[in-house]
Amino acid sequence: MKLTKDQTQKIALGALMMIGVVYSYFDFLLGPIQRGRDVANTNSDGLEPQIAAANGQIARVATIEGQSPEAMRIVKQVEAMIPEGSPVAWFPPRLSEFFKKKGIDKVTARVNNDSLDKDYVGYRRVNWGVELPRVDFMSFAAAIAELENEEMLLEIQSLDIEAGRDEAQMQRANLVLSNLVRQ
Amino acid sequence: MALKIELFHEVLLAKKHQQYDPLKISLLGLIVIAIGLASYYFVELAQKRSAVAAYEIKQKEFERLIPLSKEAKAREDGLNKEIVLAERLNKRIEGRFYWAPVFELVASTVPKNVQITRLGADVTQDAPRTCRMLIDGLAAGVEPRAVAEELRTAIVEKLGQKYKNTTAVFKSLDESNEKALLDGKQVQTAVFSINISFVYVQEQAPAPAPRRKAKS
Repeated sequence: MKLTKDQTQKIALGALMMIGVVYSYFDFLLGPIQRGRDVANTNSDGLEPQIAAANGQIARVATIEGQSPEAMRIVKQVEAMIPEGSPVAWFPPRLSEFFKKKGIDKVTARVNNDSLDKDYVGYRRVNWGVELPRVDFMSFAAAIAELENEEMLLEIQSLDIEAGRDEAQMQRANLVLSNLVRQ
Repeated sequence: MALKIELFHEVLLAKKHQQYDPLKISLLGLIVIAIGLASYYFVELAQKRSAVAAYEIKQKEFERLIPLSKEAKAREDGLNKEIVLAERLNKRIEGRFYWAPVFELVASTVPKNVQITRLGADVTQDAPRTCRMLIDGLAAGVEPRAVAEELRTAIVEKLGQKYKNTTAVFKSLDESNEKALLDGKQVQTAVFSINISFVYVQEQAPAPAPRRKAKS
């Protein structure tokens, strides 16, 4: 079959139009849809780890909350051991009263230094110099044992016990105590 | 042979031409292609809508989780601080150095012919917690130096049972001119000074016994 010139021109024009239509279809119709779909998929994929991280965070807190009652109990117990108010107001009388019960009448406690301790947030460390001018070693040792058991936030850092010059049976004791108090 | 004359051949030819009209065939082809492309378009559109819907669901889920996650993070920080503080407080309480056992051990080593005139001691705050003591005293006996030496070795032996790296060395040991009355006899005396050092290691709490499984 031989095509006439007119037919050839029509076919060429038709082919060109077809190419234009197909190009427009893919570029103007399908293109935005596919790009939109790809963007949605990419965003969706990007959100998955964030959702997983958020869920993980919530789950982790649930696990920690399971462990926290024990920690809260310890912190509350420690807080209950520390009276309200300035340590200078309550610690020396408390110490005097304690030693008085043990038969040691004269006790003097003074603040040596007072410092914040970053390891114990909400608390500070107070160092006390304690003088007991007249003690009997054995009863003093028993009192120290009881003090160490009763006052859990207190630690004796150093001590000095010297035989009395006037009374051979009595000694003079100096203690340096470290105590944890509320900030 | 009979002669057949087809009088409608022109009509038939026109019909045939009309049947195989390239324009008509092309139009039919175009319609088929257009239907295919339109179908593909709708399939793609449906896929896009599905992807967008899935993204929106995730976005809503994420937006719902953001405040919860922030709240959880703040709560976690607070709880962690509390747990760390509790651990440190517990460690401080459990890791305290107790002087009463030291007094007890030292007192048990002092015989009646020794008088301790001074006891000074301190303990370091950082691990390893080393305790240093200085004991001044007066030993009385026929051989007062031997009495002091017995005291020194007894201290090392007794403290060494409880504490690590226990050492006790004489800082000074001098015979004194003073005499002491012991069991009704006048005996020689020696003045001594002993430096003692040992390391306090916190005893580990025993591991809890494994739980028995409940019998079903």
